[in-house]
Amino acid sequence: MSLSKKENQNSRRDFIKKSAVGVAAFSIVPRYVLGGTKYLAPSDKLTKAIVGVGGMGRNHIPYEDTPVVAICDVDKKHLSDVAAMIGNGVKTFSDYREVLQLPEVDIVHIATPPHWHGIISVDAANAGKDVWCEKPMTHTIGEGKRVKEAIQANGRMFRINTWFRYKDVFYGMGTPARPIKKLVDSGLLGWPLKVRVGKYTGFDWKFYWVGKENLEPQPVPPELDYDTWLGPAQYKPYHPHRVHQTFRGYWDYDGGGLSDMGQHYMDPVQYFLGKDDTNPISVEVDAPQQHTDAVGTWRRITYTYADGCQIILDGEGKDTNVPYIEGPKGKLYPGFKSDIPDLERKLAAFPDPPPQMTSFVDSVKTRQKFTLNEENAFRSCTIVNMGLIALKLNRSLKFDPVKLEFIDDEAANRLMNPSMREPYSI
Amino acid sequence: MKKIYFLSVVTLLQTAAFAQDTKVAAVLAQMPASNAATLKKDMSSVAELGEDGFITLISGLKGPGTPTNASIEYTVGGFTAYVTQTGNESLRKMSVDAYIKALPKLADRQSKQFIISQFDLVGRDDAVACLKDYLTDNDLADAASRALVKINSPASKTALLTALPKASGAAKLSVIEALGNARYKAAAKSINALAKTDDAAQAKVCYYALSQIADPSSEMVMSTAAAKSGYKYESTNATKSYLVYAEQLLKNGNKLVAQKIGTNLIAKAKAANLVNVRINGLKLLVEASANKQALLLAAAGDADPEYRAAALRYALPYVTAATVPAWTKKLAMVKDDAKVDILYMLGQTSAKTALPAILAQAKSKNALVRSTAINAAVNIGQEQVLGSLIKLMNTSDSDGIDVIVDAINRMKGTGIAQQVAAAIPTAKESAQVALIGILDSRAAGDQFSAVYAQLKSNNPRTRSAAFSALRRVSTKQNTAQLFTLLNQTTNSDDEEAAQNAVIASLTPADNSAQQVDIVLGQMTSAPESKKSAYYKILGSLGGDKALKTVTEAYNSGNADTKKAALAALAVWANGGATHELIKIARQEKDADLVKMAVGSYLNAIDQNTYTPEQHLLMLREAMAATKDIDQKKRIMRSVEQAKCFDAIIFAGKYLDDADLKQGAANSLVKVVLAGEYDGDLIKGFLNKAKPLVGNRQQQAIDKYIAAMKPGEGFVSMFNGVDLTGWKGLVDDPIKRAKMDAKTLAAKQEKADAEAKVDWKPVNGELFFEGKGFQNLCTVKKYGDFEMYVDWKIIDDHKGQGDAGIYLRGSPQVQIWDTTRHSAGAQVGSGGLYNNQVHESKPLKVADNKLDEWNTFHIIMKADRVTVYLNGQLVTDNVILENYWDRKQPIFPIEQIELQAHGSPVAYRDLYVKELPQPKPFELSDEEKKDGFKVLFDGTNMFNWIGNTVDYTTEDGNLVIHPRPGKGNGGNLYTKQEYSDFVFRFEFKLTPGANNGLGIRAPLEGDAAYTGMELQILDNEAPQYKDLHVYQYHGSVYGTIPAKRGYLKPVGEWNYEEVIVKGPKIKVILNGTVINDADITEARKNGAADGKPHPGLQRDSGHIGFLGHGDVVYFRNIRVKDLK
Repeated sequence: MSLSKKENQNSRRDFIKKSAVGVAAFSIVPRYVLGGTKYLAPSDKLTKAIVGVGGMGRNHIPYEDTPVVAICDVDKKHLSDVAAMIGNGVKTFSDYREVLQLPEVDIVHIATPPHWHGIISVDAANAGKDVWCEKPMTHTIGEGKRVKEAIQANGRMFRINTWFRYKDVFYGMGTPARPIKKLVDSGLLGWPLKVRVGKYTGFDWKFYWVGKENLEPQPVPPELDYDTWLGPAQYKPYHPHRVHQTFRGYWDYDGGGLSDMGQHYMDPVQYFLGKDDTNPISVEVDAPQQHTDAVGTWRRITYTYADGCQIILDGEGKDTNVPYIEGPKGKLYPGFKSDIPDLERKLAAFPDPPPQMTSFVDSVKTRQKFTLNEENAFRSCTIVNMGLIALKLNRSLKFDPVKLEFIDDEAANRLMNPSMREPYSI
Repeated sequence: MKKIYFLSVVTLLQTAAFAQDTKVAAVLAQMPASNAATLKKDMSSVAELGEDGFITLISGLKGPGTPTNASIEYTVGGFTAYVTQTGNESLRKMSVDAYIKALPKLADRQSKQFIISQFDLVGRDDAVACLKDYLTDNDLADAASRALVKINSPASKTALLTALPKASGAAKLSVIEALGNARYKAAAKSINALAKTDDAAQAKVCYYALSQIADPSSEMVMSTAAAKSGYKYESTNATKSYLVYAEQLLKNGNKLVAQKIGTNLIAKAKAANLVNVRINGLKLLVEASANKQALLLAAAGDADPEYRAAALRYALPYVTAATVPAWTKKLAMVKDDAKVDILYMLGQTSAKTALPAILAQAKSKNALVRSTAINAAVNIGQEQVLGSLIKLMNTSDSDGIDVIVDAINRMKGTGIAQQVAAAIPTAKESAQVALIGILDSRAAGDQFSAVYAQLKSNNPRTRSAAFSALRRVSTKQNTAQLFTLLNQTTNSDDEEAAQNAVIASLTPADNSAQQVDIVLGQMTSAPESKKSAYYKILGSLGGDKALKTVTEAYNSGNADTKKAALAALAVWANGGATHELIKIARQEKDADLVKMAVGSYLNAIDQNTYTPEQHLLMLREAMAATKDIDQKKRIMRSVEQAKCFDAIIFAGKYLDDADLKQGAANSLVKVVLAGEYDGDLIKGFLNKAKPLVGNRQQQAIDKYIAAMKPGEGFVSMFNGVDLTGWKGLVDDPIKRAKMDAKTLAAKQEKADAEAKVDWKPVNGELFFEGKGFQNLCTVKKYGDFEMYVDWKIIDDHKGQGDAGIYLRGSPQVQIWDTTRHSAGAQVGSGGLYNNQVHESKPLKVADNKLDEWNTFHIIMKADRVTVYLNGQLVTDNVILENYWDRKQPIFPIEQIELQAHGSPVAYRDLYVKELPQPKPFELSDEEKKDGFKVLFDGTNMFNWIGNTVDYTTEDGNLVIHPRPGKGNGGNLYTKQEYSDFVFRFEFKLTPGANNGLGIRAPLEGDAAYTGMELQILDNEAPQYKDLHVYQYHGSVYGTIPAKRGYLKPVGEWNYEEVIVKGPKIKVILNGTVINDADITEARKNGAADGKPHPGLQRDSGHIGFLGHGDVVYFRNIRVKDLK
């Protein structure tokens, strides 16, 4: 579908964007005015600290043009590399708790491995900081719930670092998610819908994120504080493959490609299916047996919602020419192609989806929730974590999205909220 | 059954201990399971090891990095997960016992930790005694306390508390934290005491534990700690824990204390940098107190925006019809920044009674208040507030109008377009533009006249908005009016708008041909200068007549007409003018027009969807036609879109071209990386392209090459310059086989000489220009293979175009001019033309026009052929019959031939990859002597009739793959009939699979009744638990039961022998007689299932496999006729 020029203009102009422009036009409002007598920033710009500056953390440096005033990492080499990269006398820390105590930090960016996301998010909220956290939001469902509560109890703003529900072409779909939302809301496809996420609809599951079983212990390099890197995870002997660029292959810290890409791919699905306040009620897996430590691959994961909607993750990428969304009345293929004749005109008659808060700086300044916040991100991350648990147990699971527990599966429930190593807690 | 298997192992090996190790080794060798079904199977073999065997297995753990570590971890982890499923309680107990007993045997601490962590999932009270011993061990207390928390029973909690005084260091912290996680009230007192410490880590863990336990006795400790921290975030997390503590108390029903803590915090945490603590206090207070409304209203006016925003979020659930007046009153009293917050909050409710107050704020002097109010009003009122918003437009500036437009665009309702249209005439200019824009973006077809009226507006911006909206509001009722408009337009922008509007009004066409006539009629009566404006309209409708009109206009028109025609051809409906465009590009002399034609052709390709193979063919046509270097570069870039084998070959040809090598390398690498290719050819291309691509791609290339499957892959069959590797045709394979070497050599020499005359390599392509029927043959013979070949029928205007590809020396994959209807060529190319029994026609027509190239991808495996023509499947795994002797199957190996059929034809890009051929099954000497005959040896299905589509050959097996929605997959029968016989075969089941061996069956009816069926069934699958005995595997179906329990596990091959002699039927499965039936009785008195079985009376018939919708494998099938 090619949107008309006019519609494009309108849909891009979200209300919030407008209101932010409004703010700027009437007065330059620095944080210290909005937020009381906090640190007086050199301009009206918000400031940030980045915790975890290994790989992904470095990408956070330019986000929304907010200056980095502090960085933190348990690897001294990361710290010195990135300090040199940023310059400007950026402060460096190896203990994130000291960062949280800095009055001049407005936003804490968390780009550590996922097993640290929960703790740092909760602590940042308790320290009065707003949080920009990498995906997946948390490593476990229990931590996600706790992050959500802490953000809300402290009146904090939170965003997760995925964005496909509001900007950029949504992977293989070749279109942003917003027109998909409009189509789904219009009812032209019918209900319930089946969404297929795999190679053939343009989504790569990155199976190179697999672990190695049986790692032979190696000496810890002097620049790395390995014990803190492990943090709440149980102690396991050091091996370079466990940390840094390859940690996604280990269950203790992440969950492979599903964990890496799952929230990117499924958050927009939750959005356009209108499932932001709920989760699927079952997950089925077809996968080889998983090792207890090293994450492996999988062939297919199927999620089913209470109303019959489904998300099918295809890890094999075998089927071709299947639609991205399939409903009883119509199908949607990559590139917004459809079997519904004259779709563009039919769709135009329907209302546009509600506007979204798409700038985190605006969110922090106006205290209105970012479009990807602690509530909906918790839900989309829970889908990822449901999949990880089903993979670990290699069986289908039933889930209660209200009580947030698996039905008749004690083991799955125990995996939902593992204890942390002392003195870490959440 | 498995027990029997293991018993026999024991007997064989004689010593039990060794047998144990063997069993353990056998289990470990299975790891990891490839799916849930095999995991289940593997885990039941672990269960069969018994507790002692499992302990032996676990005791093999020697720590990370040792050889068997991973497979033991797979086994233990898999078993742990397996036993936690409902119904496996006794195995869970066994696992707990085994882990407990194995722990002391393990020397290494990582192995111990690993086993202890299994209790996280399998632990119940039975694990507590073991775990408590590890709580004082600094290395293992973490794992043990985690498991005890998960067990979460009185015993596990007592164990933790008992260990508390004994533990020290890290172990102590672990225990405290675990007591907190377990929320064990009895621990509060001890932890209260431990919290009074200078050790920050211990204090932190204690506060955390106390917050979770939430015993009222901890209030003093917690409040003192929080106060001491100044309510700031610091390393002991005292304030945070204090808040969680209050939260927990509240959950436990202790409102009073929570309220007290809330009030206390709001009072103490006044500093601006503690606003989050104050917010936390407010949350507690609101949740704990009765008069929430007053608290929240007061907070909504707070000076701190963070506090205000949080308060309003907490307020949201309490906004009801009854409380709305209080909120609107508040709204009027507060400053603008608080107004924005309250409006935003009200906008998230459905409080319609708040609308008047909200709409009043839509007139505020503050732009942010205004826009927030507008959005809130729309959220609540939807269509109800449309009138007010339209009115507001007339007093708004352009930013204000934009806000309103956005709001209206997302408004739900049925009368929106109508109201918007009605407001246009009286609105101010900027509002008119906006209102027309709304009709445009809503594609408001029923408001055409409102927009049309504004085409004559005196306001230039209104007029131009109306023209741009025209396309989207036009429907088929408006066509006539739009034609008039088109003829009257005075500038090109208006003309284009009118043209697009006509197209839009015609597009949802019911009858294109009729519409083309209407457009042609209009075109005839249109002024001369407007005629070319109709080409695009014709193009939008498509069809031969329209195409002819525009092509003729091109051929006879002036430069402007030609350009308009090319522009129309470029956007022709469904890319239907690509053939004309490329023809123009080939024939046109004017360089600019050639360039424009190729550009239009490429645009048309971009706008339509083709198979990768067809896409590439079209790009190659464009490459041949253009002389423009930029277009060549564009084509080379586009090659990456056409992801197929031929694209690699094509791009590979340009790796030495100075101008194009960069694009060629990029496209080549992208195409290769997106697929699974192997072989030296591809490797060579990658290595050649590597220096031309970026760093990331270079790394990807290295990774790809390292992962390539071994083997030669595709090799070129034609070198482009001469006939090396090819020879002339001598008779047919049967006659050739009978010739003596000398005769053959003489004939070959003659044939080669003829071939040289008839077949000419020109510019890398191979032309047949002869008059005769001299096929060009490969010197090499091929068995199973995959090949690519491009072909083109050259239009000599005689209408006899015909050619083909012979496989294994036999005719043929058909190539012909599809306009030869008298010969039946309208079915298309790619069928197996000479088949008489099996399908001879292609599935669809996928041919390109004469003089255009086509691509064949041919796969031949066993006796079957699959053909893709231009990327579309046209022959699907069809048996190729032996044309030269229909009494035998196709030759297992023979030459490939390019057919000559008297008409000119060209071939290019011939590539072949040989595939491994399974070794045919052969009878043993004994069976040979005994008179057995092979019915299926893995290479062909010549001895079989019936459903040869769903039953196919695969890696030397006979496999049934029932197609979804096509019934049971049907039956496959022997060509011959048998009465008394010995039938031997092997079969392999998939989970739950059902099939059957039909005997003495006719070819019609349900063979289980019209003949007899010896059941083939995975009768151990859970869905068959209620079967009748006469339905078990090996039973004479419905009649005489077989013994159950002799099938090999699913996925393993079974060997079965069936002996049928008069009324006696014996079934021997894997060496055991499972049925020794005599049907004499049943013939007389009827079958056990009470149903009519006329087949029991038959003395002779076909043997066959009776499909039942499941995948089953068969092999090595032979029969001995006893009559």
